[in-house]
Amino acid sequence: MPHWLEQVRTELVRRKLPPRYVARLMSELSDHITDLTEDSMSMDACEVRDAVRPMGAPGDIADSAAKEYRSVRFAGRHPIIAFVAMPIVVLPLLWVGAIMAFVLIAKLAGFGEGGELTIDNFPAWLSRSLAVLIFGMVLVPIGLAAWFFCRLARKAQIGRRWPLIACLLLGVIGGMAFFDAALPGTNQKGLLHDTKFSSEVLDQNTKHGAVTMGFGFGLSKYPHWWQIVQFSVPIAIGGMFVWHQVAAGRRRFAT
Amino acid sequence: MAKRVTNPAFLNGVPELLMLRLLAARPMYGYELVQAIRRSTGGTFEFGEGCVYPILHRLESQGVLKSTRESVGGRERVVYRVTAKGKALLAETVGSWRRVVAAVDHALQGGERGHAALA
Repeated sequence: MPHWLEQVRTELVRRKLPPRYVARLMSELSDHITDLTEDSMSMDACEVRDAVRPMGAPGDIADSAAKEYRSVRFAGRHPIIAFVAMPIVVLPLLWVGAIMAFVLIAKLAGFGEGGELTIDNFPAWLSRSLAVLIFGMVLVPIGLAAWFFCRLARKAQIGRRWPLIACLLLGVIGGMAFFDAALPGTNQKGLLHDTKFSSEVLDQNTKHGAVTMGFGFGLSKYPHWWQIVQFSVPIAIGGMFVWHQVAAGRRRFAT
Repeated sequence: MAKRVTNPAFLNGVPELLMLRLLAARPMYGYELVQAIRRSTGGTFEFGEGCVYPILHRLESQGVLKSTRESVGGRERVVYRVTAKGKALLAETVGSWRRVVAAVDHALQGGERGHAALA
């Protein structure tokens, strides 16, 4: 019996399963074999050696353990980390990435230090397009994050509550976010919200442009339209995900 | 004698259903559960007994079961019992299973044609 147990341990370690998981499984297998041999006390020595045969082959047990362990993903084992903490961290990181991409593209296009390009001669449609692009830089990360956490929930086979919590958090953070950018030129306001930058920034604005990002709710009576959009997009994605799950469940067992 | 089929795909989820059903009746440790499965199914299902533990651990990590170390028959054993979430899942799964079985039975008996399609 010790030989069989050692074979199982070897197979489990070979599949890179965590030591705690292996230890627990080995403990329970050992208890099971003790019960099995106690039930077989009348057997002779050969039969006792064969008593582990009902347990299955060590490789099969290790395969089953690896499959079951990995089917419960990190998100399934730690839903609070995955669906509460991670959205709070992931969304700002995505925004930082979007801002860096925007600045890099602007530099490559010829804006900023060393470049000659300004928006002074841009037609109105191009300025409006840039405003849409800037709004997209805020909105697309929100939508991507909501889609990602819904997909994570589906893969982790976790309940609908958790992706909805993640999408609600993304909606609140998204609704609070304010972002604007000004490209080099004599127009000293942000492209999206006509943000007036500070005087120190204004002096640089003609050459370098400026980016601003903030969080919070303004003092206006009603939320701005862009706040409503930024709040609604992840809620809508979460809602669509739940509806799709419910519909798929009903289709599977429709009679 | 009917030919024995190993691991047919349509039996996915059946071990979990059997385990939940038996553990909902009373808490059991692993060896006891294996014997209960064998008795309650009349020996129809045969499986490597060691493979039952990874499934139990997975169900526990999903919050469907919980385990405690208890003294049973003078020895320390890990005893599994179904949680409230597990009971809800069991009720839903049993309902789905019965609907599926009824539908397949109906089809095998000829369905709308009213005569046996399969001998």
